[in-house]
Amino acid sequence: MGSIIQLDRLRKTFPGGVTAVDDVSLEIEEGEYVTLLGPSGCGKTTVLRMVAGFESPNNGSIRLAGEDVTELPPYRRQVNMVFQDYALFPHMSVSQNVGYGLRIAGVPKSEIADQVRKALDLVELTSKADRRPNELSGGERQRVALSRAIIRQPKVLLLDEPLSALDANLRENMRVELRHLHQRLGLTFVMVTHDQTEALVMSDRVVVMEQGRVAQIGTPSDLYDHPASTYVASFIGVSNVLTGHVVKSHGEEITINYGAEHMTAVRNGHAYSDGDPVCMTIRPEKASLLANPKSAGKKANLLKGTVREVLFQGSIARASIDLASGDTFIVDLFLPNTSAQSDLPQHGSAVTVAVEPHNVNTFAAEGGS
Amino acid sequence: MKLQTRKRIATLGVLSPPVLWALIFLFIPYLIMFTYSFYLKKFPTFEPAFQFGNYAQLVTDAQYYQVLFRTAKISIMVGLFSVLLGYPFAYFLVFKIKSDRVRAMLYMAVIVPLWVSYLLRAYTWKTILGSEGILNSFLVWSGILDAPTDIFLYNQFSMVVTLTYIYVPFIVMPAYASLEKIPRSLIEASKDLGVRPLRTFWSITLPLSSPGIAAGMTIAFCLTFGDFIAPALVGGPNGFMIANVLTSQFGAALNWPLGAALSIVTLLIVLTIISLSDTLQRSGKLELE
Amino acid sequence: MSSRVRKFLKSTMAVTAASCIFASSAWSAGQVNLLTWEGYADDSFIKQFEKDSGCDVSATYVGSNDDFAPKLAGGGGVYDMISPSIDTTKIMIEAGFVEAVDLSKVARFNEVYEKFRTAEGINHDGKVYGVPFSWGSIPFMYRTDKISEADAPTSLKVLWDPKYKGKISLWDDKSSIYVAARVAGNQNIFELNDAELEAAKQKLIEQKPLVRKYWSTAGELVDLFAGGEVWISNTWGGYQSNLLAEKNIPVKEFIPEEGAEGWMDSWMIVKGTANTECVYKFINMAISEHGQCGMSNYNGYSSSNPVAAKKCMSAEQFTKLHQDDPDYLDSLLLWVNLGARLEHYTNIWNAVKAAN
Repeated sequence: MGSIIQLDRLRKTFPGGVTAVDDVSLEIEEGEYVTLLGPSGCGKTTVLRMVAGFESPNNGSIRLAGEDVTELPPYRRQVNMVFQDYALFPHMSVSQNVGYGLRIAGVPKSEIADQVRKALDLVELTSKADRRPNELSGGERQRVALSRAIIRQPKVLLLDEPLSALDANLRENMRVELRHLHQRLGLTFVMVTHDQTEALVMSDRVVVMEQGRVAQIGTPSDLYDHPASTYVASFIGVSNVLTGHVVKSHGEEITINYGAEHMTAVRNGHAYSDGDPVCMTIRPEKASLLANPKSAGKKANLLKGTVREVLFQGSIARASIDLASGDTFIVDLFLPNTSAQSDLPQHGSAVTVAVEPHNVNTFAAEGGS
Repeated sequence: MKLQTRKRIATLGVLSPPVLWALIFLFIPYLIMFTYSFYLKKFPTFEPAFQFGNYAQLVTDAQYYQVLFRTAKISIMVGLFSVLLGYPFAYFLVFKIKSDRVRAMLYMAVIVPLWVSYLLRAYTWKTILGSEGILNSFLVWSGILDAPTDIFLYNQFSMVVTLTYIYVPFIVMPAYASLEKIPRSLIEASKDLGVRPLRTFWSITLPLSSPGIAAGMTIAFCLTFGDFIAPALVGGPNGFMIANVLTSQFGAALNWPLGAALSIVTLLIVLTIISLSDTLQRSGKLELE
Repeated sequence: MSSRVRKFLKSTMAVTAASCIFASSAWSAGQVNLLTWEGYADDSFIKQFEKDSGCDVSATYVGSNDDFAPKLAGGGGVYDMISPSIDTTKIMIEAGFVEAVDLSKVARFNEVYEKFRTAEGINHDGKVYGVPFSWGSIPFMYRTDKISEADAPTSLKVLWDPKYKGKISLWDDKSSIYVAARVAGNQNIFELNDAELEAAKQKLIEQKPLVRKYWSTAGELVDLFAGGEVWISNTWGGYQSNLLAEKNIPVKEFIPEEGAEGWMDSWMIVKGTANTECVYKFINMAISEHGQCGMSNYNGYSSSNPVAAKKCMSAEQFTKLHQDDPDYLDSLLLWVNLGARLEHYTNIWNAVKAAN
């Protein structure tokens, strides 16, 4: 498997002077499901539109299956897009919409009919082939848009916020369906979304974008467990962010001075010098509360604090702890079936937070000390 | 029961001004005209009667359908040329102009002439197209012509030119509105599916803006159909249109019954065109919802 | 009602009331509303009349004799006086649009040419319904700088000469039928039978490709000549040629071999006029030296009152306008009322314009 898309130092500045995409480089493997994730205005959609050919970059190049397509118009690129609003042609039936590209390309009628049926079969819409788009539900329209985009078997399928117009229930179903479709077709999917859950659930790899730049690229678990910046850490899930200084590196472990305490973390590929300012991120579910500090693991980091509040959330309860350092630390408490709600720590009680070193993710603090 | 009565009165109250308006200004005048169309011409004026002689005359005397045919021909040409000029302009405004300010300015430039007197605008064309007019002066000055030609003015050509100029704004406005309503993503989707810009225009943009074209063309057609000023100002000996016949019947000929019959026929033609166009527009509108 | 609204209504009513008072005061000072030809209410002589009489004159213009009836049929109360030609006066009387003239109030009526005074068109049931004002011919006119002396036209046939294709015009009036009939050799132009009308129609249709435009107002013909669009046309003798001369456009009138139509216009009083006093002041002015020479000087038409004309015209002008030449008047084909045949003439003319 080679790379199907190569973006090299893409830059796009709009006439108003806004730089939407700033020096983005990215390689996507054939058959991958890659998601561009970020808040609105981060440039993710512009990247997608440049790949489709609707915008041309001011700088940089786009290669598609090895061919430089930077200057090619959209109708010459073997990519297809599922638009956020689906962009179904209102004056055509479902089957006419799906067969549109083939019809204009001059494919024989019988063959079009055949392919349209297959494409609609794939999304289970054969029965609605003769309907007009305005007679379909949101989910059905979405599936028409999908089948129209895949009928010509593009090298890459682009999806622009494909689920944003659907209601919550349907959205969850479609996440799974899209994932299955991806596996069945074996095509490369590039999706844009602002929904982190969507990105984590569906993608092989996620590209987190921030203000036109790539903040981090990685598998969902990479990003979750080892965010490379506070931005990524806070954008994906919930993280406790603590800052300190490196006191000592020894092998795979580093010791960090945090407030009045020393904490141990796993280096995880980073190289630090003594005295470097460092950020630690700790997921709430990877810490625990101990009534008795002695019961902690040998290497666990222990932080003392008092309970400020505990929020019951069903399968878990989320506790906010005021640490001695002044920071607030969030811990998710799992509630096994035996546990009663009365077992939860009470407001104001003194507790100890325990975190295993391999659950402390570190990266160099931005801006230095 | 009581509530229902009250509701009915309220409905009547809301409806009655427009109903009354339509009754007084539309229905009753049409009814009067319809009545007149059965009257009998009797020198020097006419007298009440119920007979179909006026309608019979419209059918048997060639001059009436000759003029109707000519009027229809000119109206269709004006509608067509207005679209050919106005639609590309609207397209250009919507899709090619990037600056909102420039777009608004150009749009106004088309609309502003509507505030200028119709007569003045028609007169302008006389000074452009005349034998010693601007166009001829230019052609002679530039050496394209040896002597001024009289083919520009006082014929159906000059009528079509003048009327087209006058009615182009009526195309630009609805065409602009319908083009603006087309989501850009539809055009991108077409290109995305491998379709070149020109085919995209024919398959997507044009069909989706057809309600606007139909609306504009209908306005241009109907206004031309009832025009009697352009024939008088820039029309030649073959410029006589149906509205001129009407003026003549209600005027010089003092034959109101015949004029009324001809008005009814004209009205029916125009109403048919309008309802046809309305059907087309409605089917188009549904699609963009 | 809020006080602001009430205030607004009050002031609006005050303005309305004031303007009503103003309007009625103007009414009482006297006015006369004319439905007439261009040139019959020209400031050159009407201004003085307004000053002397205290009557305000306002005028609406017609382009053809056929315009009088429809304007009056549309409802009264607008016009006090009309000035139709002798072929139309009878229709006005029969349709009941006009009332008889009280001759006791028109002191100099007997100075008017007897032929006009006693004309059948203005006499009805022993009463006189019109006061003759002016007369003239419908000659032809051509541009002498475009048509050379050697080619000087003398016959109506020139109007069918392809040499002048696109440079010919005709009055948009049933008068065109008179022209076509004369070319076909029919001098009984007011009594054409259906076959003769049909022949005239064919003749006019045949001419259409040569015609630049049918003119419908005096001003339009002047523009057509001045703009070089038209070289030859029929005209209201003396009127348009004068206006063109003022613009330094060289034109010459001529009476064709086939003869020319003649016309005579009379002032008539619209039935039920509220401005009787000013109406009679106007009539008396019209046939006085002031009105007769005022009209002749501006329009170039001949006067109906030779006594007045003699006093106010130079001998040269008196002769030029044929004021002392009754034979000239007899040589013209003086328009007559077509009666019920009018409709046929009008329809034939419409059919010509409708033809392709």
